[in-house]
Amino acid sequence: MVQECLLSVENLKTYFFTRTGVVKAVDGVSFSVNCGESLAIAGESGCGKSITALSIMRLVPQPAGRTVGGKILLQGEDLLAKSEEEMRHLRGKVISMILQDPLMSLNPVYTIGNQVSEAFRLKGSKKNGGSVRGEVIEVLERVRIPSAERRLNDYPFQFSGGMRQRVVAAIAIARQPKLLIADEPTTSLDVTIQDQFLRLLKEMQRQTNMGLILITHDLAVVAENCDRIVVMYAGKVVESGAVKEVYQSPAHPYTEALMQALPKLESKRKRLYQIEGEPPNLLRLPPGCSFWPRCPKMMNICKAEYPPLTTVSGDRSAACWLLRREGEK
Amino acid sequence: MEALLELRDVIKHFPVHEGGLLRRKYKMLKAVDGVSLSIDRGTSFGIAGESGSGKTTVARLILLLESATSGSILLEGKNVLRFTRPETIWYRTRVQAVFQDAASSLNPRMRIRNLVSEPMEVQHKELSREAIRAKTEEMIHLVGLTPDRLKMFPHELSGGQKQRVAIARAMTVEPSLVILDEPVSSLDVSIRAQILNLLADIQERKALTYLIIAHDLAMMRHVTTHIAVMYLGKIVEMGNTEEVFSNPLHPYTRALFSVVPRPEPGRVRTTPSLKGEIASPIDPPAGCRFHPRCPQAKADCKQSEPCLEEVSPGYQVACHFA
Repeated sequence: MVQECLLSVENLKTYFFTRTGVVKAVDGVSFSVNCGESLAIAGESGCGKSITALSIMRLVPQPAGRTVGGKILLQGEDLLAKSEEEMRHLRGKVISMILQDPLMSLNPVYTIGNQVSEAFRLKGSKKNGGSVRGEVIEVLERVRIPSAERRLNDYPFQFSGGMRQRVVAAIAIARQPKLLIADEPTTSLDVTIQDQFLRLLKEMQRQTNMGLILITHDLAVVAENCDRIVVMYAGKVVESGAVKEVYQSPAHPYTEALMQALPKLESKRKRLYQIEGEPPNLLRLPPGCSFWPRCPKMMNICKAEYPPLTTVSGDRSAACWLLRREGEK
Repeated sequence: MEALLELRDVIKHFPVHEGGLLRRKYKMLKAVDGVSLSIDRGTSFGIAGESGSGKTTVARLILLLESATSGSILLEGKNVLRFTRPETIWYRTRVQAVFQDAASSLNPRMRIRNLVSEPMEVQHKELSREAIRAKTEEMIHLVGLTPDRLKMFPHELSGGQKQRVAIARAMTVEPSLVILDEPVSSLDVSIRAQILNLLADIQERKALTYLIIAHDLAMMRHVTTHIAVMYLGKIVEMGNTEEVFSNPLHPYTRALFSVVPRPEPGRVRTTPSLKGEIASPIDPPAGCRFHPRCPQAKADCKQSEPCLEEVSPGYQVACHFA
């Protein structure tokens, strides 16, 4: 099956200019998403995964944050060259986003029906002014809100956490976007509700063939829901490739350590593998590779120079000096 | 083995009102509805369950942050709920807690030194300043921090370091039971293993007993020796961690295990998603509380409520079909 490339991010750089210095939150990140494909951006807090998403949406907090370089090509068009007016037409219609906490994305003083219908009433959508009640009910039914029609006049506080997140999903997919970005969509939900929500997300994706970017810190969620993975550390991509291959033989020591540190449901009670140290402060990054102070396989060259992204096989690549040396031999 | 802490038929109902000022009606939110458990000295006892299952209320009852509606809590055989004030103060040196969000359990205007020494100043007024100083430094060393952190404020520390300070604070009065309520769920993946290993080391060195409350089942398997699974204020399954994980008997436990995502790409899930959501503890379903979501529910489950029954020594399940 030939997959059409939907989004391609090239060498994206989003910096924050603060009084204490320049924070390179996203520093030269590249990846692509095809139609109907799920891409995971995984990493710890502060690694730049959420800022990458906000950069694509062009919603980086201004004026401190600015995208200073790179390209974001959505179906061949560079989003960074668009005006704010043009971006407003694209958001919701072509690219949509779901945030972690549904309570923060919903307005507590408006009814659910009102908030979902807003997506249809926006400028540029089909209906302008007329009744959109039918569409609202239909989209709420698509995200499986039981007795949707009766619940239109309810407020967010009358919904459970899982149902609220479904409402947020309904707003996001209301206009059938081509790309959906979900930023930690299930972190605030229980496992049983997380399972229901992720299945729903996959089903919606199958129906509309949209591209999905799932941002998460949970490598188990990635394994079950995504085709490809991009692992980030301190603003840079350290490894990317097909989920199956990356999980089988992680090429970067950081990915490998993360996999080992994960508690598994099958293994017996024992001491967990632990990664020493803490993620670095982005204002005081160590010279060379950002991971070397915590890396069990650190070499001298790691302290001196940042390793280039090296192709491992096919579309798999990782940024580590270990790969370089093996290649040269 | 000797039981350190025992809960006997503990019930906690919160009154909630609905309706306006004139037609106000009071109803009972049954947060904990008859929980009995026994924690042996030196073990790590886990309580798992979804939000709304009452697991945190159990912890708050043990810590005397809520007063139980009925039932008894026994520490080394003595009923804690009948304690006089001086006895209660003594009890608080025996039982300490570490909560989920370290940032909100540390006073932002106090230095780390004062945060760690505060419990000793309250509980052991007889201690000299030098003794408290020495103990504070010992504690900060115990949790793997350097003494230069003592003069800092909480905001100067990372999330993992703050949780270490919260652990040091709980350990200063040398408790015998430490309640860990979601001790790592607010931390990053690479830091979680560090904190869990640290807690295991401290347990070994100080011969502590842990009560761990968490929703992360994979983590529970690694850190607990015994586990109780709660659903809507009741324990549905309880036993040795190894046994419960290798062969869960209650349909709810089985469903929980099947929905935990695993880091194995391409795993084919055989069981369907668990339907619906946890019911309201104000009007829990009649009969077995799990029956509206249970794939195996029969007519019997809607009427009679199953009791927690022993299926093998030390292993209890509350299901008609187990």
